[in-house]
Amino acid sequence: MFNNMTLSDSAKQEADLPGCVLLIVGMVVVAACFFLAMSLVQFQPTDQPLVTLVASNLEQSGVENPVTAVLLNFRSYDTLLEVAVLLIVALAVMPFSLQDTRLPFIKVSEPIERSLVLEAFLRWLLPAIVVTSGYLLWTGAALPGGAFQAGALLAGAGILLLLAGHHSFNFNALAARLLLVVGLAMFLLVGAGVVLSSGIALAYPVAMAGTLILVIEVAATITIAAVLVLLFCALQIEPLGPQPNRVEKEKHL
Amino acid sequence: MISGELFIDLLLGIGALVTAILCLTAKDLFQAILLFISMGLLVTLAWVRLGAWDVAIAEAAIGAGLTGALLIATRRQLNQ
Repeated sequence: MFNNMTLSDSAKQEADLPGCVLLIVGMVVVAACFFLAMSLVQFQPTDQPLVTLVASNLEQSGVENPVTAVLLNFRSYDTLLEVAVLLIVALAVMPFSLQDTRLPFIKVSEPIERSLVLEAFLRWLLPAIVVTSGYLLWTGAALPGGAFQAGALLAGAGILLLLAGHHSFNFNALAARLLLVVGLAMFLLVGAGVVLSSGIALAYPVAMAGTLILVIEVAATITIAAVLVLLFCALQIEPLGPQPNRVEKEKHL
Repeated sequence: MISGELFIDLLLGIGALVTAILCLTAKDLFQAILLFISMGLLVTLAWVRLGAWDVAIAEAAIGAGLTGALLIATRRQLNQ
């Protein structure tokens, strides 16, 4: 199979590398580690201009958690691009049959093998996960938490639901496509909309910043959860889809 | 005499390093995946000790949880 071929090919290449190349690579890595360790030793806790900068501007951001303030207000452009990257990942692993477009998003069917323990457990666990995810999203304004964490938890709930076997997701459905793009769409809409009031894209007006950030975060949570569940779905259903690239990437890392 | 906090920090740091090395050198893929997940949990605790709660939650949910599930699903595909 192609997967095994990729694995064995790169393993052979590894063995064929001459000793001097390995020595040079090793020396470069050791030097990089040395410089990193040196900078870590010389780094004083007091030279953190960013911490004071964020703390002094926190009132303008509309949220109380400095991490959320940086992610969604001061450096929201970076987060916008992150959400865009997630959408590109989703496009790369989308199942490519166009016939399923009209089928519903969630399909309920009788599982091949039932796991009663998992089913009974999930009855209690899934609502708790959804509530916790909502809590993380809401509390992200003041305490640790936020869209990525909430989305990842929600995706975990989705994967557990898939593992129970009663439900399957069809990511070609219109509803699923909406879920996949709503995060980026909402981010872009808000980012462009605030031009009307402040004149600069993604510079939220101070009075509405909290609400706008919450709107973006809710949409981003949904998209992140959908993309992560789609990743799992793509690995489960397709026999030969995106994995060759994944394997190659992992090997090269 | 090492203080308790330093002892825990050292244990977490060395534990993360050891699980990382074991994960990279493991012959069995499933073993490597489990070691990767354990490393994720140790790194989560390290982030907690550093006071980076946001990163800790993200690492626990994505690094240890979802990546583990994705890797196990990938392994199943490879075995087919």
